[in-house]
Amino acid sequence: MSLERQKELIIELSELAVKRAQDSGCEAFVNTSIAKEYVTRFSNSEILQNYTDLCRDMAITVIYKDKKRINSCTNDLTKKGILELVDYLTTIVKFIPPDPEFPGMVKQKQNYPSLTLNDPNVSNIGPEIIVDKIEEAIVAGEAVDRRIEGISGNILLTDGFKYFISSVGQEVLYPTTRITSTININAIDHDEESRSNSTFGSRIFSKLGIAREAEEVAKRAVQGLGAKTIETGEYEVILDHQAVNELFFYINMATSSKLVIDKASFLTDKLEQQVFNEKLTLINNPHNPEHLDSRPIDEEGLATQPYPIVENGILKNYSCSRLDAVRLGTKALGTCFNFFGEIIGFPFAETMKPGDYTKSEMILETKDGLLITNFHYINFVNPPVGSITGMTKDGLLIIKNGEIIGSARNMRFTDEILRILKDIEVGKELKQPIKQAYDVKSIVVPLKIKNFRFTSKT
Amino acid sequence: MEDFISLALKKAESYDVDFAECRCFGYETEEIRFRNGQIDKLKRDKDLGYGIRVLKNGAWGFASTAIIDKSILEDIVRVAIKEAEATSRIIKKPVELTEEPIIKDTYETPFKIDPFEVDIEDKIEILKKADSIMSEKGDSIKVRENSMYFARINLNYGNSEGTMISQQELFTGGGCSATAIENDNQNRNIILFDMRGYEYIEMFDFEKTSDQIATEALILATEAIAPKPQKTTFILEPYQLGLTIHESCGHPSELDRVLGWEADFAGTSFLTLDKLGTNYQYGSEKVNLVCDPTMPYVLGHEKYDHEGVKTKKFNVIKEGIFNDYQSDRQTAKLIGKEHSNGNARIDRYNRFPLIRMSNLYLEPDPHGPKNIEELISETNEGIYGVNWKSHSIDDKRMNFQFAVQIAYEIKNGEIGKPLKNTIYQAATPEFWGGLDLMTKEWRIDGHGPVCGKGAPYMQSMWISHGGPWSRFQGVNIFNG
Repeated sequence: MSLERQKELIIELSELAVKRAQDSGCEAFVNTSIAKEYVTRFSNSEILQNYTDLCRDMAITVIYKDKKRINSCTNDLTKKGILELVDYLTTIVKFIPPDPEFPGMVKQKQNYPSLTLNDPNVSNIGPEIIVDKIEEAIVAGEAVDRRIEGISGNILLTDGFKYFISSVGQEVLYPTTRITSTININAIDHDEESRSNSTFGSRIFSKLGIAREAEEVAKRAVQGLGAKTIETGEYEVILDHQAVNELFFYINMATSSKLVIDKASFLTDKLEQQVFNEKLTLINNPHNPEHLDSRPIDEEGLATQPYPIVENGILKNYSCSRLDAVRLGTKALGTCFNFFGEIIGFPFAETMKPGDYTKSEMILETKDGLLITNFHYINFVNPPVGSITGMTKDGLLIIKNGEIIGSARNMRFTDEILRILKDIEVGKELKQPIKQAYDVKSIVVPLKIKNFRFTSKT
Repeated sequence: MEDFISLALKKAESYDVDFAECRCFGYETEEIRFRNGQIDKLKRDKDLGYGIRVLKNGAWGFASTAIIDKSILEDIVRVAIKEAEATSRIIKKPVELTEEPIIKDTYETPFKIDPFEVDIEDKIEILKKADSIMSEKGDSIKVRENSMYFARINLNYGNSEGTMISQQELFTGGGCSATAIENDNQNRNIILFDMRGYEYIEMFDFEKTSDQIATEALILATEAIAPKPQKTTFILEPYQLGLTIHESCGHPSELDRVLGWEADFAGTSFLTLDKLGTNYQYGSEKVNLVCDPTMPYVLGHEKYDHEGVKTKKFNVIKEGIFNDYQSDRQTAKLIGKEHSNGNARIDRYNRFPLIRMSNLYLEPDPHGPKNIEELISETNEGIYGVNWKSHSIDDKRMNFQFAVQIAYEIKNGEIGKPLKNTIYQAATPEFWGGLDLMTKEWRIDGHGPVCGKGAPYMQSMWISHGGPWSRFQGVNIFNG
C-alpha cells in the first residue's frame, strides 16, 4: 500500500475519531504518523540486519468538560478499531476525577509555520541504495589504516507524513524525512583494541556524508591505539561534539517541566538566574529545517516557536507542557515531545550559540589536557543537585603543548553539572550528533572545560 | 493467526529461501498514574503487526507492517526477499543456524484476574488511598506518585522448519514514589512487576508500600547522613543485587555484544571468546549465576524465545567460573555450539530479534545465614544498600558505579544510622570476587520493561533478577 494511500486513510480515520468523540459530548485531538522505514545494521564490515517497515501510529486524546482527559495510542487503523477505541475512551473519561489545573483543549488560533522537512527524492530508494551507502562507509573507513579491523554502525531512513487534527478546528499535515546513522570503527594493533564512534544525520539522503564520517572515525580509532593509564584528578579538557551532546542532554532534561514539577531538577526555581558561564547560550529552534527534530506543531497542538533556554548563562525558560505551565505559572511554548510514550515538555530542537574558537585553535592553546571525543552511559547520580556520572568512550586523547600526542585509557567522572560548566570556552563549528537510545538531537559546538574531574580509572 | 503465518511462510518459500519465519507480535497496555491527588496519566495502548524474516543467499532480509491484510502479504514477502538479496552483497560468511527441535504448542502464562476486565474506578480507588496515606505523612512530602501498569503480549511464531507457537503473556506492576524536602531533597520509590494478573495488585500491597516509601523518603530528607568515602563490607538486598547482576554479568555475557554486533550503541564486552571454557574466574566460588526463563510468574518467564526455541535453565557462572553465554540460533552456531540457549527476543513486531536477558539471578547459599537479620548480625562493620537510584557502566561492562536510594550503617552486627546519596564503584571481576556470604532466603523481583538494547531503535525488554541478601568485601563507597 503506497504512502499516498496511507495518507488518505489516516486523514479519514483521524476525522472519524474526532467526530465520534464529539458525538459523545467530548472534545479530542489526534496525532497520527505513517512512514516507510529502512533500517540497516552492520558490524565487523558486514551487514547483520536489513529491514523495511511500513509503520503507522495514532495517538488520540479525549477531553471531557475541559478538566478530564485520557489518551491512547494504537496502530489498529481500521474503522472498527478506531470507533471501538474512541467509544471506550469517551466512556472512561467521564469517570475520571477532574483536574482543576488542566487547561483543556488548545482553543486559541495557532499560526503553524510552513517548513520544508522532507526529501522528495527518497521515495524511490530501496535496500540496494542503502547497501551502496554502507559499502561507501566500509571502503572509506578501511582505507584509512591497515589496523582498521571492522566497520560497524547503522542507517535509519524514515520517510512519511504526520497529521494533527482537533475538534476545535486545528489541522496540520506535513511530510517529513529523517536519515540518521552511526559509525563505529575498530582498530586493532596486536592485542590492543581501540574504537571510535560518530552519530550524525541529514534530511537529504544525498547529503548524508557517510564516507567522510567513516574516514574521520577511522582516524580517531587509530589515534586511540597505544592508550596509557592516567591518574584521577582535575584536567583541562576539550569536549568534541558527540561528548557535548551527551552531556547537554542532562541540562535539557533539567529544563523539562516534568523534572521541575517533580522537584528533580537542579534548575528548579532558577529562572532568570545566572546559573551557567556567561559564554553559554542555548536556543530551542524547531523552525530550523537542518535540525532533525524540527516541526511546525507540538504533541499538544501548539504551534512551535524558537525561544531561548539559556542566554549568556542566565536560565530563561523551562520547556513546559500546557498543564505544567499552569502549575509553574508560566507559558507553554509549543515544546511538548513524545519521550518513550510520555508527553513531556522538552527542548527537542536545542541549538548552541557558537563561540569564537575552532576546535583546532582550542587544542593549539592547550598546554596539558585531554580531548574527550565521546561519553558512554552518563546518568544522574543525584538529580536535584545535578550530579552526574559517566565514562569516556574510546577516544580519550592526550594533548601536550597544543598537539595530540597519544591516547589515554577510559576514565570515569562524577561531578555536578553546574561546577563542570563554571569555567568554559565555547567552540565555533556546529554539528548535530544524535543521543542514541533517546533519539534526541542537538546542534552543538565543541567546548573547553578548565576543571574536569575524573574520579576513577579503568 | 496460524493460517496467516502459514500463508506467509508458503509465499516466502516460493522464492526459494533457505529459511523463513513469521512473527506476529501484539501488545495491549494500560497505565494509570495518580500524582498529588490527581490522575496524572491514564493511557491505554494497542500495537499489533507482523514481521517476516528470510534467509536467502546466506543473508537475512526482514520486512514488517502493522497492516494485517492478506492482500499485501505478497508485497511484504517480496520486500524481505529484496532486503536479503541486497544484504548478501556485504556478508563475509553465510548465516547458519543451530538445529532446534520442531515445536507445535500454545502457551498462556497463568493468571487469576484479567486486569483489563477490572473497572477503572476500582483501580483509581486503590491509588487514591495510597496517595492519601502518603499525604498524611505531612507537608514535607512534596511529590506523591502511585501507579499501576498492565500489559498483555501475544506472540504467534512460525518458521519454515515446521515450528508453530502461540504464546500469551500477562504482566501486572505497581509503583510508589515519594519526594520529601526538608534538610535535603530526597526521593524514594519502588516499581515492581510480576507475570500475573490483577491479583498481583494485592500482593504489591499499595497501602503498606506507599506508607513505607513515604516514611523512608522523610528519613532520607531529615535524619540520613552521607557516608564518608571508604572501602568496606557492603550488603545488597535482592533488588539492587539484581541491578548489579544485570549490568555487570547479564550484559557482558550476551553473545552478540561479545561478537561486536552491538558496538554501534550498547557496546561490546570484556568477556571475550577466549574466556569460554578456560576456567575464567568471574567471581568468588560462591557465585552461581543462573539464567532461568522457565520459572513461572517471574517477569522474565517465557516458555519459548522469539525464534521458537524452548527456553532452558543454564549457568552463566558456576562456582565463580564463567560457564556460558546467552545466545540465539545464529550466534550459538557461530561459536560451534549445538543449540541456542533460547535468549532471542523482540519488543515490537517491527524489530529484529536480539539476545536479551530474561530471568537472571544469583543462587542462594543453602549453608548461609537464614535471612538479612542473621547476615547483619554476622557483619561487624559495613553498609547495607537498598534499591536502585542511579547506574552507569563502561561499554565493555568492567568499570561500574551504582547508587542506592537508602542505605544503613552496620556497627557491631547491628543496623545503625540511615545513609543517603550512597554510591558504590568497582571493576566487575573484583566486585564479584568479594562475595563472601549470602542468605538462604532469596527473592526474584520484576524490574519492568526497562532493559534497553539495540540500535537505531532501542528495544525495551521485560526482565527479572534477584537472589539472596549478599555480602561483598572491600567495596569502594562514597557519596554524591
